[in-house]
Amino acid sequence: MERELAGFALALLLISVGGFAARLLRLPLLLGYLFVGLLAQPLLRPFPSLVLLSSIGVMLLLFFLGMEFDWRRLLASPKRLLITAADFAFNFLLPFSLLLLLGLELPTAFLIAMALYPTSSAITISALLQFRRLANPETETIVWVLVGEDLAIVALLAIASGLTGTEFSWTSIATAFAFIVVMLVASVVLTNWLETLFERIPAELDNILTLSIIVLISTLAHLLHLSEALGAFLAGLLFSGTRDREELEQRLHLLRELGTAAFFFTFGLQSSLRVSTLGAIYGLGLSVFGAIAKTLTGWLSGIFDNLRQRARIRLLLSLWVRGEFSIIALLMGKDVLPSVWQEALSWFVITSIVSGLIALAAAGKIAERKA
Amino acid sequence: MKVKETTLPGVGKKFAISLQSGDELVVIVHVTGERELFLFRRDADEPCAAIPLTDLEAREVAMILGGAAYEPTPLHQAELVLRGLVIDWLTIVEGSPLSSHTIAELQIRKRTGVSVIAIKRGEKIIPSPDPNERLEVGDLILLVGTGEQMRRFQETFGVA
Repeated sequence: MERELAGFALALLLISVGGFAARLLRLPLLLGYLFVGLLAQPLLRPFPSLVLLSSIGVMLLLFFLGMEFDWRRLLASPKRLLITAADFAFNFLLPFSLLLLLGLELPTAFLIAMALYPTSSAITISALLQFRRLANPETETIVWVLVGEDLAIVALLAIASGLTGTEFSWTSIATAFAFIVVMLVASVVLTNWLETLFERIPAELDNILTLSIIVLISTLAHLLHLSEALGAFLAGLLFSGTRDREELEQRLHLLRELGTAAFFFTFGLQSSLRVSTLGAIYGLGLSVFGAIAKTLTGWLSGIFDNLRQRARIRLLLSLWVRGEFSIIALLMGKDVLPSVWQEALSWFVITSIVSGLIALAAAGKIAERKA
Repeated sequence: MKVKETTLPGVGKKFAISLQSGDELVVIVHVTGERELFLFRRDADEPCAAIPLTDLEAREVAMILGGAAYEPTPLHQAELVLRGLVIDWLTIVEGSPLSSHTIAELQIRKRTGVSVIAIKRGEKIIPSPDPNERLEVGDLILLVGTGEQMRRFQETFGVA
């Protein structure tokens, strides 16, 4: 117990140091958490309570995405659907088919493409905030690319649940989609009931009840051999129609911050620093491909959204960073992915964050010079 | 004046106000409660000024801009409608169901969605009052909410 507690204290201290260093360097805090995790490997191994906090972090991250997710608004705009489709084609379908052509097995190719696909909302948004670019015209486009990815990722998570067992299983995929449908219906039907429930209970219990619903649905997803992340997203969907939504976001903010920090820190702790030559080459290849594919997405989205030249150039350099979803894909593939690809993906995530943030930071100046 | 409201999922809301001068003022309200103000010069697509504000600072600025501290023309009972958002003053009269209760006890926001953003008590202004603030007879409270939430407020507390 003392050991665990001491480890926990050390982890929190290191996370603060990492965050502080990132702030000094004017970088997103999440990057600091990840790097301090990498550097802390000789001191710490992941231990149960940290891993638990980090899974709660993922759950809350996904819960908030689900809560804010408004599929009606996305589907209502053909332009945005087109952007989502282009993003999906360049960053998922293309690498997926290429990897299959190269002779990789279906689950391996699927999980790698799934890790390649989504831009990290958490890091990108906090970088845009840090660089004071939230009000820029291209930011709306970026945000809608990210929202479209959330929609696709839910489907990918569902399919991946069928691929990560001991063998390919249609039953798992069907279960996953059935679960999604049930939760979608529930999110429409149960809104009033949920509101009444929260009105009846004392306000002090709001947080605890919400958190227990999130963990319960995530656990249910896990018991059905689906990803907890999917469960948490769907739990968020359940709350998306309720009136107190924004209040809820403010109330759970602290826990989410702590959990997200633990998540990126734990990823740093777990990423193997020793990498085989092949793993490094694959990782580098993925990073280069990922940057090019996202630049293409940015280019097309800029045209679809009618942005002016400078905003368009900034957009090209704004979508490279991968993060939470890629890590989730990597964690899902722990038992399926060949170890060389696991190494490659870890390095891909880290290099994409570094190169993506450099691109984001330089975007303003480059746009000014070119225009 | 044109106000364009857009949602930035995961961030909050963006309000772009086209000013008479041709410039554009953008307010971003984060889900965390922080606000950011940006000024875009005419036709520029990068801001020339960015001002981050905490929740409290933003409310204070809003109060001053709204004329609560100094207002050459009377503001009483002024109702401002901004894209579905209603701001209204209410005087707590003798026998009002609101009098002698704290904001937390009344659960105003939870029950109706309306927020109490300030209280004027005599000459004293209490911006963004604490939920434990007790409302007294004679208080002038500043409410903000949507039209629907205001109606719910009126139904719930039986006041106009």
